[in-house]
Amino acid sequence: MLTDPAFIRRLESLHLLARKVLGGTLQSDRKSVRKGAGITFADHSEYSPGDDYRAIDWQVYARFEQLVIKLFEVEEDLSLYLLIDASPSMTGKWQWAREVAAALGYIALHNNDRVVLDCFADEVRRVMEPAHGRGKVFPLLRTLEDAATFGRDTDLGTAARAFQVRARKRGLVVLISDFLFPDGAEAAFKLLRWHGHEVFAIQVQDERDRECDLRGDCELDCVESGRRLKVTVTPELAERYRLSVLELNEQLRRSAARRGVGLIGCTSDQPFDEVVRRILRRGGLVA
Amino acid sequence: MNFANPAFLWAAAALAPLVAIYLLRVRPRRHPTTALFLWQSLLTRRQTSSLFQRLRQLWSLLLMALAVLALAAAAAGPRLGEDERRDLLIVVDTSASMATEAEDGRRIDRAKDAARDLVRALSGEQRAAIATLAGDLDHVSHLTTSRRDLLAAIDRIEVGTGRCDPQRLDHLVASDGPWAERYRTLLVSDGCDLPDQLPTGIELWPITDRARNVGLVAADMRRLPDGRVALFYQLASTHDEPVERELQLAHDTEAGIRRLIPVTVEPGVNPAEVFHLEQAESGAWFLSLDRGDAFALDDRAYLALRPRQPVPVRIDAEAPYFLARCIQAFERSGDLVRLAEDGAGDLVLAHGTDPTAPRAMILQPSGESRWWNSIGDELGRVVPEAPDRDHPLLAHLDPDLLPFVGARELRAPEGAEIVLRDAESGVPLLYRVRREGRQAVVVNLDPLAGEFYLSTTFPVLVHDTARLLIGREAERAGSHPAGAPLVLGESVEHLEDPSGTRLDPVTGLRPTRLGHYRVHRAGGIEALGVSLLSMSESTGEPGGSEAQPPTIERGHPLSTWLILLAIALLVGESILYHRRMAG
Repeated sequence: MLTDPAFIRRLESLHLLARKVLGGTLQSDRKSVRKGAGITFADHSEYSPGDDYRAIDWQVYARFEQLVIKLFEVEEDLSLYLLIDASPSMTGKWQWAREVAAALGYIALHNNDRVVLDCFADEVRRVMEPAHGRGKVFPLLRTLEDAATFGRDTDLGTAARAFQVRARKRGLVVLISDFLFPDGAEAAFKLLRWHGHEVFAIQVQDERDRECDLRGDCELDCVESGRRLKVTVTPELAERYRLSVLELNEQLRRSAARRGVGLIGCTSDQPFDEVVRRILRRGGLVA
Repeated sequence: MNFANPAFLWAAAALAPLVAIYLLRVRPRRHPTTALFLWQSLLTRRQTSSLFQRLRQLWSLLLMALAVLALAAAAAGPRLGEDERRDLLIVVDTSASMATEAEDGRRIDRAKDAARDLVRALSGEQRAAIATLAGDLDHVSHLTTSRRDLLAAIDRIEVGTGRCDPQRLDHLVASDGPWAERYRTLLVSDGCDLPDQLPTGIELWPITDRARNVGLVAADMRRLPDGRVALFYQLASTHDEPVERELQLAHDTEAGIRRLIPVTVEPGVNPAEVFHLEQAESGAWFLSLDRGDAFALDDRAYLALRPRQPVPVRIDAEAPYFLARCIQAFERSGDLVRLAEDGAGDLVLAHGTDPTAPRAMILQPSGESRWWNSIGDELGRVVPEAPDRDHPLLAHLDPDLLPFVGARELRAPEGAEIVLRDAESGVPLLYRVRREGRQAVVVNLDPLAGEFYLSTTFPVLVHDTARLLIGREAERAGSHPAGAPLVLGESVEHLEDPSGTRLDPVTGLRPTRLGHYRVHRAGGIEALGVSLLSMSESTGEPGGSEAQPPTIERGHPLSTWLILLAIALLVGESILYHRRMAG
């Protein structure tokens, strides 16, 4: 259970590690290109009536007898979008996905970052509205605990578009999925990056996704679409399936590289905190 | 086709539940997958599955159904043919000719193979018995359904040296009603020595080949009165052309060759030949062809030459001295006769007396006697004439050389056996008479007037007379035909066969093993040769060469093949099942 004290202790240890490694934040380019009331000089602008006179750069006026104001960089809050694949194919990895999401959300909330939790399958469901602060940790954990898989067929591209409609602010989008999509993930990566998000993909698969230990006649039942396929699995065919999965994962890696998307692949038998530690030691969720 | 157990055909009804079970059970396992699209892409890269692949389930059901039907048919005991006779008597010819080696093996081996085929074709309820025929009909197995016992009996069959006598089977197929109606008798034979028409009820299963043979069909070796030894032999050939061979005559061992006799053997049975040896030791002799052929048993004759046995002669004459001296003189110079001691003797030589001995040779008949009816005057010139030139007394004598000086007119008693008579008057000159258990040979001549006593024909006539009266003209031949009853006379203690095995009793014995036997008598041991010497076995062409084997199931029964088919079908289904289960 995600609200279990033992689990929470594990989350805390991850948070401490995050603080130690990343200085307490999920490192990201948080510098906004927008100018505002910050402390870091960014640029000058011509004074217009109504501008804050305290920003007038008198040294420039003394030299050039021209009224200009200083522009400063604005440090914005990090928006962490946790986008979790909740399609039926994630059933076997659902607990693991929620644990990873809980860990990342915990760290972000403790650092006063903004956390949004969405689940997607054949539609995108906002499971938790944007939340700030430590006070939202338990709601986050309970929300994750109550979340369940849903839907049927999954189209990541459609989900990305639907997500983008609601995600007004740029942020860090963490995709947690098995990425077993017929059309791949490149379109989604492209869309999200186009809209200025930082994207990090956490691919989780289990042995049943990667290997086929079936032999002989069997009827394959797609957990998402419900379609069936009769097949006679030979050792040769099983090997070809394994290679196909590897090829699919390789395509994902190349797509992520092309689109500047961070990617980490793991299996559901790896403890979630080990995966998060790997992420943190890498320097965060950056490509 | 008919079935021994048609009720088992109902086992085919098991098809119905089989189909139902198959349709219900033969369904693939369902397994969830998270990447069906990957499987689809894999399968689309492959060739479209063949009709066999698509219908594999149906193929499995078909194989199982065929296996069930095959098993049901096998249990029903299918039989080809309509013969209702259930039991079979298989008679294998084991006569000497079956030892012939042809291109495809010995005839006996092929006959045994044919018998095995017949046994294997028996259905489970059919009984059979195995017998061999070579002289006698020997049952080597009783009537049984056990194929194992029958095959074991066939394995024990060995070729013999006797003749194949189908008349032995008469009692089986005589109108002893049940046999002919219930049993079928098959004679597996090469047909040698078989009549054109076999007894009714016997079917011939021919063992044919084109083996060629040269063999000895007759052989004998005897001592002649003049001291020489005569070797008598007769050859036969089944070759189409004359062949050159060499006969090897060896004494004591096969390596002790004494003579080589080149011969040209014409096709068929050749005339008998006689070869004389000046001297020949007593004992075992071998007469062999120099070259072996397909039939080896007739390539050698085992001969035995008995030692000379002089005839003990007792004199019963008014003036015996001179007669005795003549006998003694011939005794010293030859071994035909000897003067008997102590009054004993196989033959009494009488001159001028009426002997009462059991066997007597009477010279110059005179006076009254039971051996002649009347004595008349002396004849003049006499021309001897032999009513029977083959009479034993004339075997070593030339009648023209006998000096019938002093022959008198006389009448022989009724029933006398006239050997020589005067051609003009018909007066008996030499005749044999039997009276009251006694025998006598009357020689109607004056031995002194014609100096007959001094003639070399005198001891020959005495010797041959003794042999005739004693019965020695029926003396044992130099080689005894295998399988023929043996007559050795009295005083034989026992017999040893060529391997040294003692044979007891000797009376009625029919030796079949070829070789030299040892006859143990009170007076010593003498050799006895047993050879094949069979015209029919050596020259018989495989009979029934144009005959076809009778219609009968051979080889493994149909049910065996159906079971094998069912096993093959089940193996096929197992493979398909394994494919379904294990890919």
